[in-house]
Amino acid sequence: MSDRSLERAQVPQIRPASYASAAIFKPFIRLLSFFAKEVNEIRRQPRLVLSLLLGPFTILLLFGAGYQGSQPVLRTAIVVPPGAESDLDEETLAQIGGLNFQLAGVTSDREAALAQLRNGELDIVQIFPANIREQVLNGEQPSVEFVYNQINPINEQWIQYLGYAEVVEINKSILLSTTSSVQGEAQTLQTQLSDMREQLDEVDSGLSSTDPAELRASIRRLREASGALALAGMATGPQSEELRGELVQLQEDLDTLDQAVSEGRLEEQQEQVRTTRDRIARLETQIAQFNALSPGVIVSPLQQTYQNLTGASYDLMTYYAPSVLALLVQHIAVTLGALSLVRERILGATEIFRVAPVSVTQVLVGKYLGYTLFIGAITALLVLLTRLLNIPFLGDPLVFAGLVLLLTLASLGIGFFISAISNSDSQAVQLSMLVLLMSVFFSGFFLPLENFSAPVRAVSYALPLTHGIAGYHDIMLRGAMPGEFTWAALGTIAAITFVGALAGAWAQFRKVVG
Amino acid sequence: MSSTTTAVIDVRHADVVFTGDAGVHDLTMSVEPGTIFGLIGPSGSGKTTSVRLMTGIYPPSRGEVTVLGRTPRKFSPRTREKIGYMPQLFTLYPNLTVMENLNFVASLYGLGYFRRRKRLEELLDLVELGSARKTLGRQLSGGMQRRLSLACALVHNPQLIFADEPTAGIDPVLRGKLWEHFRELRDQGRTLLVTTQYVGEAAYCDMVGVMRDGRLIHVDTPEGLRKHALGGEIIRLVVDPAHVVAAGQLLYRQPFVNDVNRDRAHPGLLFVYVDEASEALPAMFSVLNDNPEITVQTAEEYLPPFDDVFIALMEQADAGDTASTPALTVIDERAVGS
Repeated sequence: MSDRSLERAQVPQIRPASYASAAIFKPFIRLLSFFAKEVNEIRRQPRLVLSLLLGPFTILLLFGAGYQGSQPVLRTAIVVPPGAESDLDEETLAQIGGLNFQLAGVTSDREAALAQLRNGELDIVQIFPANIREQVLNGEQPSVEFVYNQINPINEQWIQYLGYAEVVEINKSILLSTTSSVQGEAQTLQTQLSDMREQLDEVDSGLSSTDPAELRASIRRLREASGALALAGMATGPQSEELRGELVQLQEDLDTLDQAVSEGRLEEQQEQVRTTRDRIARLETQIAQFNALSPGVIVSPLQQTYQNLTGASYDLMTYYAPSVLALLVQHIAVTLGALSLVRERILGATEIFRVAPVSVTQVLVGKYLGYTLFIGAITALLVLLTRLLNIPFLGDPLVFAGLVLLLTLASLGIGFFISAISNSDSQAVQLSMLVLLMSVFFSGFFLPLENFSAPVRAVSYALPLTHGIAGYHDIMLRGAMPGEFTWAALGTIAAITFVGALAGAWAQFRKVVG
Repeated sequence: MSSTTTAVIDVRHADVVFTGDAGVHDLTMSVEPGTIFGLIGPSGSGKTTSVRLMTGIYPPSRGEVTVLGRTPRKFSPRTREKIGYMPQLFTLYPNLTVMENLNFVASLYGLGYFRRRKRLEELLDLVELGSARKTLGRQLSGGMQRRLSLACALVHNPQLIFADEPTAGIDPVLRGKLWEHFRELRDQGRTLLVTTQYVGEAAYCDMVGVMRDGRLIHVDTPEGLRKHALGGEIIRLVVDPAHVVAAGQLLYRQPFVNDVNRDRAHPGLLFVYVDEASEALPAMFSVLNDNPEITVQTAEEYLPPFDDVFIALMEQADAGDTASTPALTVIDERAVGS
């Protein structure tokens, strides 16, 4: 060592200027250094912010404005075979078919309709059977054939459900028509029952005065009318079995009386006359009751009514708006977090941190602070925007702020963890996109959580967005406090991801700089 | 080479091994307080790795490293506050202004906002970035980025400064100014370890370590280094051209002369290699005075540039001989051989 340097070795130890600062404030100053740095960096990247914010917002706005409901529009043609027109009222068919499907037309040309289906000009061809009435009267159940050409399982489910509903409606229409017709025939039977009862009254009071030929003619008419009514299926009401039994019994009574009249021993059948007369009286009452009912009540005795405790449901755009807000918060937080640590590493700033008196925890917490403030401001702006679109906000803003905070922390945790395990910013972006994709599928954003099996639902619950959507809906649309599960789940995700991100960042910081 | 416990940096037989033979090997050096230690060597010679070893970024795979009395991997925050570090590459934020970058680093070291203001102004003046305080990092030229990095390393007024090629890409005038500031810092009692590829900057250092292929091949003062490279000191002698050969032969026979070289491009010019120029000059004059036909025009100690010293050292290292052998390339021809 030279004399000069020996001389200098004696100089008093230097106290760095920073030592003069109170040690107690230093951790806060370091923490705030990252806070200020992140805020400054973000505000210098307006394009990044716009792409993060406006990109998903525009897409979802388009969705909200353009989405017209979950039921697909399916083009259909109805094929009525030649000769079936007498059984099927085309106008009614077209009316019912048009309820669930977009009716392209009613035709008797089955092959032409199927060719259109194959060419993609139609989605469904409905082929109705011929001789419906005949088959029904033979006790058969003819089918309406729905032919389609689908690879989309959801559309297939819709076709089968809508086809079922259509056939139910057609059956109902047939029943209504039949019931009206039966009521007409019952009216005729009522008259004949009345005539018959009067004649039987006469027989009962003085049998000799009744003309046997006239009596037999009345018996024959009544037997035909009651037989036809029983066959026509009058028995469609609640008393059907009893009525059918009475009609069958009446037929037997009439046969006995007819036999007795023809053999000239009607006086021996006094008891049978009274029994028949009483049965006719009961039938008259029952038929009167049957005719008093409207065909609609007989065919559909039960109707449904609906009551929504919230008053009324919202339109689709309003319903999806809170989900969109939650998705934006998660997406921005995950993306910012994911790019954060990996960029420091690529830039080489980690090398400075390794030498400086700053801990990994301070780096991470400082970043949490900066990004949380930024996302808070963005959320406030978005809520104001939704208010301009008349999206309701019924809940407590403070509770909402708490929920946004937890959602942000949980999402940032996922982002930082991604950042800690990524080797490049493109890898970080890729993983962020994967989280976005998972969120759209599994968070209940589009598909209800109940549609997933239990193991897959665990993935849903691991996503902050799942709980964010539930909480946002509760606060904004119901004006209610989110459930305990929402708070607990978000808190747990935030805590676990913080620990994961810290461990990952620590490992990265300790890793040798390349 | 000293290895006393008063050394601010003490490295003993330390290795940092990467894939293959890359890294540093058997590094042994110490840096005394209040000195400037320059690490000089070609690109890839292990300078940056050595600095990272001493700052705790790389752990040694063998050997011991002590900086400010502590093992670098276990530096406490208080120890870290005493260290300033300027990495080789620009590691600051392209989307922050010069002032924001400085403020950020100042905050990292715990400097309060009001306390740091004057300091930041001083540093901006020092690195001549006062007019660029609102310029974004990405808009700075390479030289400006180096200056900003240096300002960040000095922002907390550290006791020990590691500067990895602080003058790379900086114009000569500012380079001179920075070295002047480094020397002021040293005079205040601070210790600096500076790496550089500008061999001439060795002259500003108190001690210089020459690195090659991951090994520290020589540590000495700049003067000692020059002497080692040249195998002694050189006297530049100009005589009348007609007697230049006679003068050379005469001097070559003297016991205090190690060698004599003649420069054909400059008739009458001789380079005389001796152990100590101050002792050899009077003896040389005495010998030449005894030969009146030889007229001495000028005689002075010759200090070749450090670039030449460095090249000589590298050539010696290539030849596997670190003993003093005259190898100065400025002399094109041996005038007198035995």
